[in-house]
Parts: sequence; structure tokens; C-alpha cells
Amino acid sequence: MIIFKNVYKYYKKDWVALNNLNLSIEKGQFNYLIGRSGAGKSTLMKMIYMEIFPTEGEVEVAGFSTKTIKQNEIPLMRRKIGVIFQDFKLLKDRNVYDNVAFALQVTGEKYSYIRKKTLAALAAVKMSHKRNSFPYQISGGEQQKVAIARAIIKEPFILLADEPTGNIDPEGTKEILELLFEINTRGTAVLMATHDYSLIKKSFGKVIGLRDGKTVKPDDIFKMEFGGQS
Amino acid sequence: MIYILQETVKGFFKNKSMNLITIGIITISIFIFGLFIAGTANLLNVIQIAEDRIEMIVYLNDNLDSNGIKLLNEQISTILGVQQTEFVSKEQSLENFKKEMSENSPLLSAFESNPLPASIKVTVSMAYKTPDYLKEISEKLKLFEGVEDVDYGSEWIDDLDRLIKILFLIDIILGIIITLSSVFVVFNTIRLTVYARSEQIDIMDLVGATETYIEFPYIIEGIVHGFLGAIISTVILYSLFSFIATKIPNVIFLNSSLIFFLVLFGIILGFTGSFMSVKQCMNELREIKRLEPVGKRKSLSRSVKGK
Repeated sequence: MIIFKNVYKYYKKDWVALNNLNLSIEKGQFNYLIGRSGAGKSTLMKMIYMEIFPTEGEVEVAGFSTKTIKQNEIPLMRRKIGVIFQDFKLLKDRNVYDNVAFALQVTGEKYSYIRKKTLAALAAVKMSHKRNSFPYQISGGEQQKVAIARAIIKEPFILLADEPTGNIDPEGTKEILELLFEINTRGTAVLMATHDYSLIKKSFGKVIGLRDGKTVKPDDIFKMEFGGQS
Repeated sequence: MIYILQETVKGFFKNKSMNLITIGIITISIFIFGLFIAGTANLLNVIQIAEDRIEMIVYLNDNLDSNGIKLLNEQISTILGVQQTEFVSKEQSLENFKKEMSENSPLLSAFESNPLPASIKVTVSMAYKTPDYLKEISEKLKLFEGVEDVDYGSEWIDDLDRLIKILFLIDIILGIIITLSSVFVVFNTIRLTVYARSEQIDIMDLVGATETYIEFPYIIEGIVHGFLGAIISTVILYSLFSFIATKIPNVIFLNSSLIFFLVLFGIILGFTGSFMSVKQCMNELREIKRLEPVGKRKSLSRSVKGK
């Protein structure tokens, strides 16, 4: 479903973000993406939703290739992907319902369809009771749930989560993780970038280690972090 | 489509102060622009009035008989640029002169006979009322037999011509400055309204809204801003000119086609301003996202130093 083929990304001549990266993410898989800041995690994520393009090599996402995709095809490709961020990216001037419905409104869906899907997505993240609240009235964990509802409303084949629990308390983190697993069991692949390696031990899924823009064995990263080597 | 309209209406009421500022600035810009256009129209009107008064008087020799006058009149009519001729007899001239002076002027009683010559008043076509043409026509007239002298106020016309040229130059420079500055100010104001909602644009881009869908509400909003600004400024201009017209005669206000032009100018300003702003905003957001890792690199170097 997602394939990285010999991907290089240079931000400047002397700085390589991705260095000959080869990677594939299968349908329905749960994947952790681990590595230190600057290892290339965000670059990898952005390349999947084609915010940035490889300097060399090719990324294939749901049949679209970074080599051949046209500017006007990018929105269509993004409708097949859900993305959530550390800072939630909710619209502060809209309530929970409108924030979730927004994803369908801006793609021109019918009102009745939007209503049905929005209520279903809110139920899936257990936020139906707060649908009239505004983002500033709910906790960080709840805001992230709203962001997840917005991301899954279009039934994407993959959910990209860039440090989704970075701003959330432990209780909220647990809920978010459970929610991600639940979404995964319904068939949506998940790619979660994280710093918090303790999250990984507790659960299942494939672990992708990233260092200096290359995939490495996850154990190498654990060793580096916990073995005192820097 | 319903979403786009909803968004436009929502955007309008949510950001009231921002919208009022935008409309206010467009109003001021178009008001100044309209003032300039109306000023130009009035300037042209004054020039027209002045040029209408330009006429050429051909003074005739006293011993020219009526046949000679008739022949001369016909000859004059054939000159390029001559629109109309009118014969004014000696007696008529005296009458006119008496009318202009007071009846019992001591100046007149000093003459026993009528000292004024007969003349032919020549009206020159509008296109030929330039100093060069007028001079050329007067030179030709002087060659005819029976013509004593030709007068068209040459010095006065030279001065008027120079004045018109200077005024036009100032007008054009002013026009360019006003147009460019109103475009600049309006664009920047619209840019602010668009950038105030860059977060929304960012999310729309992320969830797969097409560019047209992202841009549309902003563009419609820009057009509405431009339209309202133009209407308000036209109303203010109209009231202002109606007031001035009661004080100064001959003041002309913008005619319907100029009003239409002003409103169109407002709409075009609003449209292009919002269109360019939203495009620029999207490009900048994308650019920022592409460069974000540089920020992370900095934080990395900080954390390394911290250790």
C-alpha cells in the first residue's frame, strides 16, 4: 500500500533527512515509527501525504507515485489518508461536531451524508456527548480524539499519527492508544511516530526504527537510548 | 456549493471587525480613486468650456463689397478645420461693442463715424483647436484678398495649451500613484484577512479539499468586500458632489458609466486581491511545512548542548 524505494531527501546540500530509505507498509498493519528528533520521522510522514517529495527515489501511496502525481490529484490521494498531529490542529472557532464534519464539508459531500458520518465518527471515538463543546472546553486527550474522528471520517486506508500523545497526560495517552488499536482492528493501517518507547512494549505491531534517515533495527535504537550511548 | 456559501456568510459575521476594516479601507481607496476620476472629468469639462470659447475673428477691409464678402466667406469655408463662418457687419460690430460697454461711453462719442471694421467670425472644429493648427489657419486666412487682420488670442491659447499639458501630466502621474497605492493597500488588507485564517486553509489542504474549494470562499468574500466598498464610496462621492454642485456651477459628477467603472474596479480589486492572497498563503504554508525540519534540527542541537 505504501512503498518507499531508494528514497533520498536533502533539505540542504550538507543535510540529508532521508538516506536511501526502503520501506513498505502493508494494508491493515500497525506500525510504530521510532527515532530521535531529526531522524527523519516527520519527513517520512509528510512524504506519505505528499507534502514533500523525494529528492531522489520514489514513494508509492495507494496507487499514486510521487514521480507521476499531478498537483490536482494530491487532494484525491489525501482523502485516502488520515493524519493527526501532536498539536491536534482543530479549528478553535468551531465546535467538536463542526470540526469533524469539516473534513467532509470541504470535499463537497451532501448534508445528510455528512451528518450521518460525523455522528458515527464521533461515536467511534466516544465523543458524541461533547459534540457541542468547543476545543478550548475539552482536555488535550479529548481534542486528540476529535482530531482522530476527523481523520477517520473518510475511512482512510491508513492513519498517520505524528507524535499523537506528545501533549497528552498518561491517562489520555492510554485512551488514545486504545482508540488507535481499535481503529486498526477494523482494518485501517496505522503509522504512529513516537518518542515514548514505553508505549511500544505494552502493545503489538511492527516497529520501524529510523536513524539519520535510514531504517535500522529497533533494538539498535532502544540500545542507544537506554544503553547510555549517545 | 452550499458549504462555500455557508463559509462565506459565516466568515463575514465571524470576523466582523476584520471585515469592517477591509471594507473601510476599500471604501477609502475607491473614494480617493473616484475623487480623482471625478476631478479629471471636471478638468476635462473646464478645458472643453475654455476651448469652446476659442474663435477666430477675420477683420475685413472697409472697401470690400458684398460680392467680395460672399466670395471670401465661401473661400474661408473651404479651409480644413473651419466648421462654420458668420458675417458680422460694421453696424453689428458697433451694436455688440455698445452692448459690451455702457451705452453712453465717452469713448464712443469721441468718434463721429463707426470706427469698427466688418468681420467674419470663424468657428474652428474641436480637433483643430491647437496652437499649431490655429496658427496655420490664420496664416491661410491672411493671404486672402480683403482680409485686414486675423485675431484668435494666440498668446492666451498658448498659455491654455501649456496649462492643459501640465495638468494632464499631473493627472496621469496622480492617477498611476492612486491606482497603484489603492491596489497595494487593498491587497495587503485582504491578505491580512486571509492570513488570519491560515489555520483553516492548512487543515482544508490536509483533509483533501481541492484548491478551488479552498480558494472559493475567500474569493467570494473578496468580491463582496470590493463591491460593498465601491458602493459605499460611490454614495459618499455622490453626496459630496451634489453638495459641491450647489456651491459651484458647472461641476459635473460621475456619469453612470463611470459609476459602473468604479464598482467594477472595486470588484476586480477584491477578486484579484483575494485570489492572489489565498494562493500566496497556501504556497507559504506549504513552504513552511517543507522547511519545518530545520527548526527541529535547531532544537536537536540545543538538546545536545544541554547534555
